[in-house]
Amino acid sequence: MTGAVIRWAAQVYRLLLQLTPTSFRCEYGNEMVTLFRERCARAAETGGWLAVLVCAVRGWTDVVWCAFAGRFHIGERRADPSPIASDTRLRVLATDARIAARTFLRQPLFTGTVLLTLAIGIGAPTAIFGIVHKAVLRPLPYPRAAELVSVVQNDVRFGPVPFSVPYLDDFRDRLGQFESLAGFTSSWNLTLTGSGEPRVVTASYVSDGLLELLGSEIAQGRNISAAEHASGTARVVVVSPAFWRQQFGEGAPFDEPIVRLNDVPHVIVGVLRDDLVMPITGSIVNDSRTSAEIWLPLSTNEMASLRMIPIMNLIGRLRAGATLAAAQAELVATASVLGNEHPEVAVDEVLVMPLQTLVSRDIRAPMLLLLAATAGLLLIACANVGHLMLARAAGRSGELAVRASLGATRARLVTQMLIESLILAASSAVFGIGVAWLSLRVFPALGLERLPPSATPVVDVRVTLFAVCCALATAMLVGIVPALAASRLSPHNVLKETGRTTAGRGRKARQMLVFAEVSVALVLLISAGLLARSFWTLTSVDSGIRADRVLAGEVALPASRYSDGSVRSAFVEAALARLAATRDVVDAALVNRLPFSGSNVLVGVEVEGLATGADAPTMDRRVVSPDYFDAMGIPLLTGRPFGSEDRPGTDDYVAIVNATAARRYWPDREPIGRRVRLLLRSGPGPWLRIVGIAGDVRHHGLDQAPQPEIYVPYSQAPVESFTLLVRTNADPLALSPVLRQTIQQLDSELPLNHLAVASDGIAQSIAEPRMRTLIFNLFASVSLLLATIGIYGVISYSVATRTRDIGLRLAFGAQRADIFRLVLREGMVIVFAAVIVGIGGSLVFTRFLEAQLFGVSATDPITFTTVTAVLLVAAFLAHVIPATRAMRLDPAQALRAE
Amino acid sequence: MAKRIDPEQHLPLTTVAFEILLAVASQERHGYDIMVSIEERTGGRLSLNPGTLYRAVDRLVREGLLEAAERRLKSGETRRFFRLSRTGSKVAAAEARRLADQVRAARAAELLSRGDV
Repeated sequence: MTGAVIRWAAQVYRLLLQLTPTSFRCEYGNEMVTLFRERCARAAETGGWLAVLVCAVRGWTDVVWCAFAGRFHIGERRADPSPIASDTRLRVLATDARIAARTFLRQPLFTGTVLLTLAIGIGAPTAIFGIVHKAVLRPLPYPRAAELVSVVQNDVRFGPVPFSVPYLDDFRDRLGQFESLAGFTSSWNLTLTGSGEPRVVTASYVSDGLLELLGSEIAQGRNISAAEHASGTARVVVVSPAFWRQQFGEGAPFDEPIVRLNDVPHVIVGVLRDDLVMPITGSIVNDSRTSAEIWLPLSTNEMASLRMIPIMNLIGRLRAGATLAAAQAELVATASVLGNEHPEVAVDEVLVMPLQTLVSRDIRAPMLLLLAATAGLLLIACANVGHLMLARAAGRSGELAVRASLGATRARLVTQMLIESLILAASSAVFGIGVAWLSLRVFPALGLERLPPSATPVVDVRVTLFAVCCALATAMLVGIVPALAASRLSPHNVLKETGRTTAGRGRKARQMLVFAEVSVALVLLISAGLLARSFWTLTSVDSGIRADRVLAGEVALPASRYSDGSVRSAFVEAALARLAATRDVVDAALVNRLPFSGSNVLVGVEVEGLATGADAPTMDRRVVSPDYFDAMGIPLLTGRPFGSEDRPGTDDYVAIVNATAARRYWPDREPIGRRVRLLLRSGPGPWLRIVGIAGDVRHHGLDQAPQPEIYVPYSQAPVESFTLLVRTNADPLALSPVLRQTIQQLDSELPLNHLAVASDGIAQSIAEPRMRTLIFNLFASVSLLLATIGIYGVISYSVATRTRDIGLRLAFGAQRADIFRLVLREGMVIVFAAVIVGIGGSLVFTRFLEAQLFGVSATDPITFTTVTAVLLVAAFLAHVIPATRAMRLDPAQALRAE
Repeated sequence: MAKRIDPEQHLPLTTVAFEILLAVASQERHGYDIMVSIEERTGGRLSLNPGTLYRAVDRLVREGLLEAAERRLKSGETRRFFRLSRTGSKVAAAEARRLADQVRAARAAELLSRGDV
């Protein structure tokens, strides 16, 4: 039995022996095992299997210690002569680096090409990362922003949507997972008078606690007090430093001045420290930020008590230790309870999510796609440079062979070549950062005006680190293959052979490079093609309006002087009459909310004859003057426009609906003559008789289906704020002074706001897709260029290495055309294979593009075939010159070549 | 011309190294023999495990104090036998002299009495 134990113990010993240094093990390993067994056998004689076990354990620990000590040279008086001291090692590396740098400087063409290629390859991802970092990862400029959460309703059509003000107190009372919760409205336009020129200011109604959540404070004066917030009637405000500067001057002493907002006096009690931009979390409005000049108490908002009107964004902070999941569960339960308490208000699905995520939700996917595209670009750049390095390494095989035969280990040679790659990559990284910096200046924010607050991308520490990481990865990618390939050569064989033939050895690697380049380039090109087509389709969508010659200006009639509807109507009639009579004005009209301005009014509608359920129809409501449709170029499909016969108080209220509404609610009947009524906040309105059907306007976005719209005449619904429109045949902005003057003449205290061309909103709504498509296509084009150059380089090199071979063929009677075909075929076979893989890859990758595509499927065959054809042509062209050169070789010279 | 080897360079020897040199001073031995010899000499106090033993042997061989030779045993197996090289015997002698010197000093300091030696 002890014999078995000894045998088994010896097995373990042998295993542990593997830990010892190789040379030692080879020399003495067997002896050690024998000695171990003998010791164990001796122990067996005296003490049985237990003694054997004890002896075995001693032996095992001894060998493990021996291994450890052996590797780290413990207990040896003098260091062994062979391992180089570590500081010598560093010195050697430094020398390598210096030599490499000198060599590179002496080969400017090679070095220049590599640096340029890699600078683009590293610069592009760095620039995009800069934007991704700011826009997606850290979009909020507030301290501790990562902790902020937002509470929103998720509307199926519009996405995150705000709550009405009464919910603030409801949530505060019931949501225990939240440490703090604050609410604020989106931008609210108020007319400022009583302090210099009247003008329209951007205001926001805020609750208490908001300033703390945003990590800011008051610089002068005081904040609105809790009592003032609670009262609901406090006419106090806090202003932004920009407002203070503009209104009173930089160093003006703070003395609680009074200003009139919409003709109501308010006291300025404090000035903020920062010009805060507030993140709009949920809005039917297409705006993700507001920079309010004036903060008023939320409780004083005229709709503060109305549960049906959602105007309030909610942000907060969770209690320490509370999880998002727990908060979500609590929120859902609370919302359901509140839903039962207030059945008249429908609350959509409620969500609590990190504010950062919410604010960057639209940008996330497209930016990540762009980042992926730049990764592809970098890969192609690396492939090109990799080939250059391979060629260079092959050219140095003689030198490396000599060094190897003089005693350089393989590790040494590989290290040196990796250092060279690292130097190249590091220098390129520096240029790449420069490229990134430059492009971030030239394309500021990529036209992303809707970016979350203060997300100006800049080249900072993290971005630089990213560039460095790219450079490191590049160095590895680009350096490792040639280094290994070159160091694998047996010195003996290399020194025997002549130059040209040894270079042929890298063939497999070169083919792989071409393969990789072409397939990645194809994926990029197809994606770019799809995006381009999608954008093209988007721009050809009919917006529904023809308004490039229309000037628009916002007017807000203050309640104090225009309290009565008839007074407002009178003003409007007078204004429109004057404007229409002005020279150069073709049409003058007004609308409550300009299409494509991002602002909208949604109302519930009751359609006569249609059962009203919980799913009440809703329509966008527009209040317009009679000439509106002419002014905006909106066709009137049937019926009649509004006119002077539509007066208030006649008991005959009229409306015009758009084609979508007609289709949806009167699918098989004539809408004209039917009746609807609007469910306003004050209750259902009067019955409206439909007198006309207007063309659809894609107000919510060119890529969205048009929503039902209802138009009512201004004379029957005189709202206080609206946009005046003047249509001209000349430049609309030239009419700005005229418009201003006309308003001033009618009322000197009335400001005109946001003067712009009416169709600007359309361009703005597609500015983002335009920029993104442009950038993506830019990357794809550069990839195609690089890939073509890469193919040309590889084929040229391949031809050069096979000069003798070609000479032989020619000498043996091959036709020149055969040579051409030979070169072409060998290269194009790889290209075709790569194209097939590339198409496969595209079919997978373009799935991620689907969300960005409009009117084009992710597997659109036209795009796929066109792009593939373009790439094949480019690849063919890349072959032409080298193949022609091969074809023209003089056989005699070729055979002599080395 | 042969390089002058100064035996003093190798001093002081480690305990294990000197014991090994002692063990092979009179005759060449293989690993097991060396171990047994040392055990007997030290009365069981120093019982070398294979790893420690062969590490020390390896160093001594590399430093030129030991020479190794493969020999065939009566049983038929081949084992590596070790013996003192010329340098090795010089070094061992020098170490012994050094230790003796220390012992003399200890006696003079009355750490050792005549009976202990």
